[in-house]
Amino acid sequence: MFRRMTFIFLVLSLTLTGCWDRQELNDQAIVLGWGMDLVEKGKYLATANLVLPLASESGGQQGGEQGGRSSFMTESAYGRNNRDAEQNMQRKLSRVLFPGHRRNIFIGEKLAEHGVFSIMDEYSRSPMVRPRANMFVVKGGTAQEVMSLAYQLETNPAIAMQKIQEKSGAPISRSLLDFYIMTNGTGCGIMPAITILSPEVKTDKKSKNDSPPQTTLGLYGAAIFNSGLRLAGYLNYDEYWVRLWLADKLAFRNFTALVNAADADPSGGNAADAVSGATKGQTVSVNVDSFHRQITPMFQGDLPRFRITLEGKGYIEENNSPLDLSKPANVQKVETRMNQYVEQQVERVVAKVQKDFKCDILELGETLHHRHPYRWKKLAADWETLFPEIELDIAVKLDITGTGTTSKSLLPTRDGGEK
Amino acid sequence: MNISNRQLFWIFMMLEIGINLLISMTPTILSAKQDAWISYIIAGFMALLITYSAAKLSSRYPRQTLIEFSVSILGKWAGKLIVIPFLLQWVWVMSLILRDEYLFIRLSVLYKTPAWVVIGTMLAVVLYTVHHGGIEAIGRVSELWGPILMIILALTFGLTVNNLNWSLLLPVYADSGLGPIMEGSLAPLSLLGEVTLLMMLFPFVERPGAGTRKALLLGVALSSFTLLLGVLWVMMTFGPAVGGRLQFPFFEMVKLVYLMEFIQNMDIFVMAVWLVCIFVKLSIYMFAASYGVAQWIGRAGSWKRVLWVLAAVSFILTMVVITLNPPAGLLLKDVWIRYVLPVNLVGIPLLLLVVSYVKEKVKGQT
Repeated sequence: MFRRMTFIFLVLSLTLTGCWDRQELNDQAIVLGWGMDLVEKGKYLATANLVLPLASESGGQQGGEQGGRSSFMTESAYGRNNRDAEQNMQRKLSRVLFPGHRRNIFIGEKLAEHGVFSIMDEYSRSPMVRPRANMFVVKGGTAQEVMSLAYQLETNPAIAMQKIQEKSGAPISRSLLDFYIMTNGTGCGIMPAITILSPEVKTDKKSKNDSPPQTTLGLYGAAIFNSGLRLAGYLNYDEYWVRLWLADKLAFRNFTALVNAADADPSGGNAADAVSGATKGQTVSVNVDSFHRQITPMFQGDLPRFRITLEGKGYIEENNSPLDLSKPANVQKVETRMNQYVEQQVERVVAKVQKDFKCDILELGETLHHRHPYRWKKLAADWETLFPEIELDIAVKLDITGTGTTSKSLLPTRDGGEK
Repeated sequence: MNISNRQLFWIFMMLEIGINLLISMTPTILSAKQDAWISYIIAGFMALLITYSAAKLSSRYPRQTLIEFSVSILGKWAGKLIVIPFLLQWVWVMSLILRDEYLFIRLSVLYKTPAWVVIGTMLAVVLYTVHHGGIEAIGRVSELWGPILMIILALTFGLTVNNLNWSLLLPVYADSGLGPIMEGSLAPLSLLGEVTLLMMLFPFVERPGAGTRKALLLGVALSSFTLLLGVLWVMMTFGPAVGGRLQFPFFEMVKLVYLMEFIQNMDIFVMAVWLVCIFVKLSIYMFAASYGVAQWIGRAGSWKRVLWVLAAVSFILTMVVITLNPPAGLLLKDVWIRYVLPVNLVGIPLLLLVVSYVKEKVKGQT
């Protein structure tokens, strides 16, 4: 009796399970990217980047096109927030929007300036989406502009942007989560910023098979949000690494400084020549791939000061100066110049953050909170006003561990002679 | 019906980790902030004390279950009355576990499947196991799946290492203080304390004795340690502010696994073994409750009939809980921690232990 009953139950359950949540793959419109733009107060324009089922099978290589057909699709809709826009978008789509692979979220500049408070909740609340996502601010444009642009190397611009971000030396696919964590700390937030880049020089297409550089997507740097989650400004491509290094998140970076002829002479030379962009010097590039930072808060009375030591290890990848790198003393000279150059860059960016943005994206407040929790309790409330005036001692110590494949340059002796 | 000490170890391993991983982290982090891990260490040690006293009590009556030895200790009336909170707890907790399971499953995989299907299928499997295999089958399932659970969890910890930022644990102590840390330890302790169920399982062990006690203590210690790692990982991934607001932070952390492009979406494995944990836990509760009720009414032999009734009761109760939808935090805090923890998990076992010792002393003197 019992066996028969279990049997019947099992057979019955077979007919039942999975019916409710069945969602065939060819009934889904897989969302890879999601863009939000502000139209007017309370009205947003959402753009979705969808996988085109036929295109992704054969993997189109030519400029996001296959036989003249684009290999991705964007759809858009107005709405009062993310979900509302998604519902409005659905009426144009034959398949159900599936946001489970929504790894890239684009925010138009106008929306960022008005503040992202009104739209960012959904990215962590909706159970369909994953917390591992990238979030980008589009500098000088709308999300839709960026998402509509075909990208040559990849079939899909959303994927392209994600991969560009992965190659930038910053943490991979964490910008959404880091934004939540950071804004809960000192209140300021940071996100990667992207922009549309026109080719430096316009070259015409002379025949059908030519492929001159085109207008494309690119990383701009980082967008800074103040405690109201409104865009405070940007750090550009030559600046954003400073913040990453200070946050101990930088993975690699190439530094190019001028090392002038005078440097070869032990007695002469002025540091300013190397860093001011003096034209008489020649460039040396150091590829740094190991970073370390130490931030030490110190107290003089009630106000804290910070001693920031930035360390890095790298090797010389290009040397256009007359220095003979087979001599350790010359490598030492490059190191000294490099330190001065990087230090000046860091100081410039830190001053910009302190004076222009007035927002603690360097997480100095958090460091203070970690090291001196009881003193922090007194300072926390006023940190926003204190931060711009905080004194910082910055020291950069790069360690050059190698000179590449050659020590002395393979080139014959140049002007000024080998030193 | 016999289980070995090793099977008992795995049973408690799975029973302790299962629901704790899901629901205890959020309240602990909310209360103790980045010091949640201290709360878990405290909870682990307290749970070991509970285990020790309950096991000590059971080893004094190695061939009797809680329902029987409470009568031996307190006499017929008092002995029968004092176990009523336990019987209620066991029946009631099944519906809470099922409800949490349903909420979690609905939130993460089956968005539209009706509640009765999710609950009904789970209950059917539990019923089948307990009815056909009894405690033996549960023991074997645990012995088989326990190691798999540990491997999957170890993999999870290993693959999320690159997301960790230890500075999120700072500053230690300054932001919370002793009170919040202790308060935070109540949630994991109240769930770890479910180890008192051992008082029902003890007589089914082949050779109950010091080895059994060792297996139990080891099981609780190891599962506390696993939970400690879990909360450390959650803290170092999300920090106190975000971690305390996610409903199921551990599973959100698993979703972050991303290594070399192709190792991702581990959550489905973790959820699968987690479901086995829940299955073991429900089966043990189902067995304890039906056997306990049968012994309580004096008909231990017909416990399988009681089982059918209890399965129906817990199904209806679960549907009622789901319909009423009381907030999970309220149930954990205002019912479980306020009443079950002090009464069932600490109070009654200690009382029985003390009375049993006193009785022995008195007997020895006369």
